[in-house]
Amino acid sequence: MSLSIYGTSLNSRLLIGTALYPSPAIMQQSVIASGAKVMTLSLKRQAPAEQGGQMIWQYLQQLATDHQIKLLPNTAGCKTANEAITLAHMSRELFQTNWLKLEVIGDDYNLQPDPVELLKATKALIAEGFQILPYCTDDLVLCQRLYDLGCEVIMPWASPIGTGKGLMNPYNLSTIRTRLPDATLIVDAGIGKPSDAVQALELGYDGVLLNSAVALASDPVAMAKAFAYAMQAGELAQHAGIMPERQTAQPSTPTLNTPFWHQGQ
Amino acid sequence: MTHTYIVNSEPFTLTQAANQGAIITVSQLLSEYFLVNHKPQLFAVAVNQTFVAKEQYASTPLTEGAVIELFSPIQGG
Repeated sequence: MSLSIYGTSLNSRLLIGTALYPSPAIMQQSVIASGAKVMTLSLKRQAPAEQGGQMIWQYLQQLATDHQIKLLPNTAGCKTANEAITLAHMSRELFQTNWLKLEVIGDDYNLQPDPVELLKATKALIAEGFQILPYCTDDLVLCQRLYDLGCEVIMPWASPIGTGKGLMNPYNLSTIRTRLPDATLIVDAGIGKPSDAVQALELGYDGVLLNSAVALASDPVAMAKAFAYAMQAGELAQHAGIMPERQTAQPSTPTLNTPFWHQGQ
Repeated sequence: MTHTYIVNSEPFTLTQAANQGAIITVSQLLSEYFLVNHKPQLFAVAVNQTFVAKEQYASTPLTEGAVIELFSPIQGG
C-alpha cells in the first residue's frame, strides 16, 4: 500500500488530523493506530500566558520522530491569499517542510474554500518552492487549474469540514479522477465513517485525509484502526476491479438442472 | 515616542531597549518581551501581518504601534 506525495512514497494512503481528540495521549494513540504516515497540524497566535501549545508540540514531535510520521502544516483560519501566504512562510520556518495543506476559507457557514484566493495563493507559493496540497471543492475546472499551476496533489472535499456526511457528490469526484489521471487525488474533509474512505478509494482516489471521524468517535483509537482496515479494503478493491453495475437481476446460482427448473420460463 | 507595540493583541511598552536608541528591532522587542512573558519553544513572527524570518529579526525595525504576532504549533485538521 503506497501513496506518493511530491515524490515521497508513504506506506499508508491515510492522512490524519491531530485536532479535537479527548486528550493528547488519545490523539497520539489514534494516529499510531491509524497507520497514517502524514499528520496535519496548524499554527496559532500564542496567548501570553498559554503554555498548552508547547505540550501539544512535544506530542507531535514524538510521533514524528518515533513513528516516522511526516508533518503537513495547514493554513486553517485564513480567509485571504495574503494571510495564507504569511502563515505558509511561518510554517516552513518552524517545521522545515515545503509541504503545505493550503486552505483558504470563503464562507464561514460551511467553511467552503474560496477558489479565487486559493488559486492566487497557490500560484505565489509554488513560485517560492512550496509543494502545495490544496484543499478545494469538488469542482473539475478548479482542480484542473490547480493542477496546471503545478499542484501534483489535489484535495477536493467529500463534504464540508466536520459534517461527516461522506461523499456528497461521487459523480463530481469520479469525473475529477477521470479527467486528471496523473494527479495524486486525496479526498479531504467530510469523511464520517470507514465506508466513506473505502468509497473514495473505490472511485480511484489515491488517499483520504480525515480528522473528526476518528477524533469524535466514542473510541477514537478503535475507529483509527477501523480506518486503517478501510484503507486496505479500498485499495484492494481498487486493484481487484469492481464488477460493472447492472440494471436487472442476474441469478448467481446456476439455474440449469436445479429442482423445478423449466426451460423457457 | 513611547515605544509601545501591540504584541499578540496586547499593548507592550519597551523600557530597557528604548533607552538604547530610537530605532527598535524585532530582536530587541522579543528579548524584552520574553523577560516578562513565557517564551514558547517554537514560534514564528509576523509584523503587521507580514512574515519576518528568524535571521531578519535583528535587522527589521519596528514602527511605533507596529502589530507583532507570535505563532506556535497547535493540533490541526
